[in-house]
Amino acid sequence: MGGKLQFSWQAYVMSLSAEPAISVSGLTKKYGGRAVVDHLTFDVPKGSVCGFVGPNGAGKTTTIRMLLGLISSSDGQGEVLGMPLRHPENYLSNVGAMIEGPAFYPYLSGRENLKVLATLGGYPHSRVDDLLARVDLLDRGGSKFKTYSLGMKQRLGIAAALLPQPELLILDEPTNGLDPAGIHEIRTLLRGLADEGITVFVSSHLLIELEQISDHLVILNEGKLLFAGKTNHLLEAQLASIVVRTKRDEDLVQLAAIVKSLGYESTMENQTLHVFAPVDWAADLNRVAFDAGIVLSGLATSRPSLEDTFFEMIGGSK
Amino acid sequence: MIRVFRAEWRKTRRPTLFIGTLVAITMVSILTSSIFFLVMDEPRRGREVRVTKAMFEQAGGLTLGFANAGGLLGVVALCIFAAQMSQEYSLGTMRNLLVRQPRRITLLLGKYLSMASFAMLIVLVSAIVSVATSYVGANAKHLDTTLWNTSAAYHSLFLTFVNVLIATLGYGTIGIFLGIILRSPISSISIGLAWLLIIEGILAAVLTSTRQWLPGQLLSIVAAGGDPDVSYSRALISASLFMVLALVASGLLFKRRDVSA
Repeated sequence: MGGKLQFSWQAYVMSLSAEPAISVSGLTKKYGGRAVVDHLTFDVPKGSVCGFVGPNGAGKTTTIRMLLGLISSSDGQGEVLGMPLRHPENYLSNVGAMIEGPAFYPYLSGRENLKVLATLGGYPHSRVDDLLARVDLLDRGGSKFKTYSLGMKQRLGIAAALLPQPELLILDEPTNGLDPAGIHEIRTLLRGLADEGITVFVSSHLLIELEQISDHLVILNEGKLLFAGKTNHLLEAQLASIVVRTKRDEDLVQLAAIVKSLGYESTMENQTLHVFAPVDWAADLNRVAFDAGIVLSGLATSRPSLEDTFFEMIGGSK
Repeated sequence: MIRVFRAEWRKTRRPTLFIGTLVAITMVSILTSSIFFLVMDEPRRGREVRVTKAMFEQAGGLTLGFANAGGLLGVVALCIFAAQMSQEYSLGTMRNLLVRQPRRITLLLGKYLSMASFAMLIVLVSAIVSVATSYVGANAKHLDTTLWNTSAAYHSLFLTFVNVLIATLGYGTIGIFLGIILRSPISSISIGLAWLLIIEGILAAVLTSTRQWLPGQLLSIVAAGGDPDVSYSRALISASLFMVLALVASGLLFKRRDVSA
């Protein structure tokens, strides 16, 4: 109990800290003159869960590799946990990472794989079984890695990332191959880690999952930054809509004309009218419909999801 | 570096590699030592006799079989070093290692020293098995082994051990170099063996003078303690230069190259 209180206090203090966990400025990676990552500038606040979003080939994994010192940047600079990117040896002891899926020795057991990394990093071996228990692999810890299912491999990768009791956890697609229950577990685990004060920087294709757990988002497309900031700021900036259903379908056309005369755009989809107006205009809409003799059978407000917003930003379709 | 060394040994000590290699080395050492007793005083298709009873009964006769195993130990070392290095790329585990030990030269040296210690164990096992086989063979062939128990014989054994160890580490260094360049166990082992066993073999057979410039030939000469074509000291200096070059090139490549696997 005392420990938990201590962790919460730590998380609170860290959240007040102005220094970001990750800060990059103009970060660029070029291969043969082609910029795979093109002048990225963003911050990831300490203690946050930050979603890293982008389509395949957007430059997410390349960026993560630069943050971990695996590849060198072509231009730009950055800091991780207050230390310059050019000296990863100064900060990686406080960073846990899983990049492009879990990679382990197939001929060793899950437990032995973790012990190899624990030995290399100088961490006590007593942590290995604690972590196996945390990712629900204690019973299979003695089995060879090559016998694990994809979900078990992912969980072992997360356990390996947690070995150093990191201040910053960087995970690349941690939910790949997991079933819905496994995805839920990972979501709960990541949220729990953030509550303990650990900054989580996570890339995923599952935007619905990211929307639920991310305080912050960094969105890339074709190597360029599209958005970096708080998740709610992004979603609130998107135009909400009021979804209206009328008792008689033919009234929808009349209602659309009324809405247009009042200065708002609308579209009709599946016998519903989507009015692009502030959500607090719903009451006024109800009144003007009533005044026009139109009986509404449904009135609701709708905000675009992260998925909708993402596809709109990258100019694609679902 | 000690942590890298210990972590590497956790992988090396797995039974399939550790016991498998030592069993193979034992068998190879018995075979190579026994062959010399079987062909003793036998002419080779019109060529001179390779080993004689008189050679065996000298103080250096104790290590004839062990020195003969040197080349094969080198091949084993090349395969192990190349596989252990390149599999980190092919399995994708190099990124895990570099996140936990970002000082790349420390990581490389720790891995090298760990593999070198395993190579030393292989050479030691081979020496023990070869010497034991020599005693068994000498007894079966009724050889006089009085000189095998002299300080000259022990000195010869020690020198042969050092020479075979140097050669084995040299082959291993070539293996590490190939493993880093090619990043694939199959490619690095097959290219390494093709070069050392086939290309160098053909070049040395066609043009004997090339032996003093070919790394594999030089290492074999070091293991054998020199031969009529190339002196021991020349072979040792030239082979050492090759090894230093291979290590420096490996270090530079390993330090600077992006890890994208």
